[in-house]
Amino acid sequence: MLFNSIGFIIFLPVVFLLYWFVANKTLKAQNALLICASYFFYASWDYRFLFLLIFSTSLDYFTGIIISGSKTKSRKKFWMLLSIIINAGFLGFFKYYNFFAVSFAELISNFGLKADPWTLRVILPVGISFYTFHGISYIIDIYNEKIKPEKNFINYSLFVSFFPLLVAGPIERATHLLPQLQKKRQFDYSKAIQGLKQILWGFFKKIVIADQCAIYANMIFNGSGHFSGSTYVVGSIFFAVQIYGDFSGYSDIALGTAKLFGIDLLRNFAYPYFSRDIAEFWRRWHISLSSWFRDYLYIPLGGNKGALWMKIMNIFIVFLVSGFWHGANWTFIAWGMLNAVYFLPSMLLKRNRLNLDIVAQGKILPSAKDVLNMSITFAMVCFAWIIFRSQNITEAFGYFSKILSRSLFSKPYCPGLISLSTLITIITTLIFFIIEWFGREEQFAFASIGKNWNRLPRWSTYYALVIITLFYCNNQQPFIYFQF
Amino acid sequence: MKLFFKKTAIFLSILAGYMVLMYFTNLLIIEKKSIGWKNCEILIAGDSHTQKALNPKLFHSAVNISQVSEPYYITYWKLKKYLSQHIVDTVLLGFSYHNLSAFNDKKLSDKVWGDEMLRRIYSLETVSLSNDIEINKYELFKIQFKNMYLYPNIDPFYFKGGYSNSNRSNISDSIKASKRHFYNNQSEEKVSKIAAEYLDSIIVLCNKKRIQVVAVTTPMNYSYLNKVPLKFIQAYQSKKESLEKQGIIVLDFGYQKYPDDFYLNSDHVNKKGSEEFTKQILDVLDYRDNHLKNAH
Repeated sequence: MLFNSIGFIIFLPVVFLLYWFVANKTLKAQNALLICASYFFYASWDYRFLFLLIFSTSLDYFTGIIISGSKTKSRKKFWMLLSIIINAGFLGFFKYYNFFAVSFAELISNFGLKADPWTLRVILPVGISFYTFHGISYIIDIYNEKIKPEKNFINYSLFVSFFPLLVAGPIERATHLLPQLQKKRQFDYSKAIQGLKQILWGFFKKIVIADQCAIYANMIFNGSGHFSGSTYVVGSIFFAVQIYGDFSGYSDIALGTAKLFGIDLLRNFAYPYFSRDIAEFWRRWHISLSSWFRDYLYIPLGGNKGALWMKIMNIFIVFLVSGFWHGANWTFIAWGMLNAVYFLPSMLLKRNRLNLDIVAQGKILPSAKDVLNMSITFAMVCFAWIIFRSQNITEAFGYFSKILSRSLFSKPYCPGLISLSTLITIITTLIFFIIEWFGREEQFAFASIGKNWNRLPRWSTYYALVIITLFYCNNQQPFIYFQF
Repeated sequence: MKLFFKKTAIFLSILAGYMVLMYFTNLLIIEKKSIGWKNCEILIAGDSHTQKALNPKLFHSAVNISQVSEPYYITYWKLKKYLSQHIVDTVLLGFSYHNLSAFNDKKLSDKVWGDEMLRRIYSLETVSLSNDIEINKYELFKIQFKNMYLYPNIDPFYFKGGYSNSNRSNISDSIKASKRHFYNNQSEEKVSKIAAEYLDSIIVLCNKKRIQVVAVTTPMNYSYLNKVPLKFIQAYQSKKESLEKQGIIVLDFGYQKYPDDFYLNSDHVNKKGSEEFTKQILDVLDYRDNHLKNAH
């Protein structure tokens, strides 16, 4: 079931009403209802993979208890590694097997040997990358004695499978979510209102911004014609806006939905395109994944301690794995590597923690220096997105070479690009970023809209947003991060 | 919690009220607003073949309501609508091999054409839709919802049609065009029963109103004609004979030899070709009129 589907529009109010009117008596009932709803939500996509989800959940649940009960460090380590290997094994099998099989066959064909790779015709279970990471972090936290294992199977299952975060995150931590699931939720009016506003904003980002920009990004990226260099630059900007609107929109819907049930999820985006350097960008983009890699990979590897070559290697490993997490394609690895190259100078010069505050905090407009830094960072990010968006490395290099042509400074043009609907999309996107700018000190930009307004202008704004979103809803694209 | 439900209910009620208001406003627009079709003696109807081939400006009094990729069932509804408000003498109706192909039957459910076709018909007529026509009801609902419930759509007549052409010429698309018209993946399409039925309905409709139907086969390039499967040539010939038996004039210019630069692509004439073809049709119609006058 997709968030942007009729099914979800029926599903959400039904679960909400049952939750607050039928299952509101006890914690057990609240969690039992949420886990049933979550499994229904997942099974409506493909019920066969529900068994995999339940298996993965059970594995980590029991392993957590065993690790906690183990007397010796070596036994704890054994069970932790076993759980990680099995979890990663499933992820590797479904997500990466074909990639390795084909890559291996290609490699040995370079030596004149012929190999017919035995590839699998399996579809990637939705959300496997996300729930596997939930489980792994839980096990590592128990091993490190940061948390105690959850004894209640339903509570633990809900931590892994709570439907708003099940298929595309945010990647939760047991330390953050489990305590919320262990106590009965009381209805909180302001939280529920905030939730609805965040859901509305998420839908607007996804349907109006991302899906409209997707039309033009696809037109240019998939176009068989030869366009000017400037057109390809425009294409990469459209994709940058698309992927931000798509994924942060999804996250807003997830966070807003969770709030309706009295649960706070981890923030996933904090206005990444207003970042002044790459390090800040990575603190603001897909925060739950970046922090996961920081805590469970970068720091265990040694972080920024040790010899220079160790520091460099750690950075490359983290970005490479992070890229590969996105999908079994060399483009994601190259994208990760490029980000490592971007990140490295600031880390080596110890300038990676320069911009920890919000840009132009307390001010209306940024300084010229901030504008320049944000522009450079955005340009670098867009450049990297080209690799991310391309089907293969050759296509990415082809795209770069088309940008770096003599026509780079000519007027952008491709059939269908110069139209009224493009102009409307550009204006809407600009308004969207203005709202984001003025709301950048809030959890989500729309939270600031109408705070101190009368009901009439406030509700009129909500209605306008609802109607604009509904207007665009028959041109829906699937969420990009569902494939990961 | 009471306050939350109260406020949500008020918010949703206002939204629903607004949508109902928009629905009735749009119904009124569809009912009362003029489509913009003018009165004429000759009405040109059909798909892109007649849309590009017959320039109404060259006629004494003609209107072209043809539209790209239009199947006969939509032409039927459009004619019904036009003829309920206007009186005409003659209907020039596009009639070609591809009009009889079953690929037309899928146009209300098809991924490529579905959206556009449903957008055209939502304000036209869907009640009398044959059960044999596949229709993507969910898409139709979405289009109706967008166009009827959200804002006052002051121009809902996407089915209006009209002559359009250009001077471009590139006949290299014959394989693509023939595949689109006559093949479903690798296998040949069926001959459409629905198309034949709706063609008959058009004839009945015009006969009732004493309108002369002239079926027109517009010129097509040989590169395309060579690729028309025999099944469709036979179906066309048989339908042609049946139409002629009913007193319908069939002007078959399909194999008319035009220079390549008279074609927009392999199965459509361009502006140049359209001028030539319109003149030819005018000559035939003049001849018919003179013949009729003499007979009287």
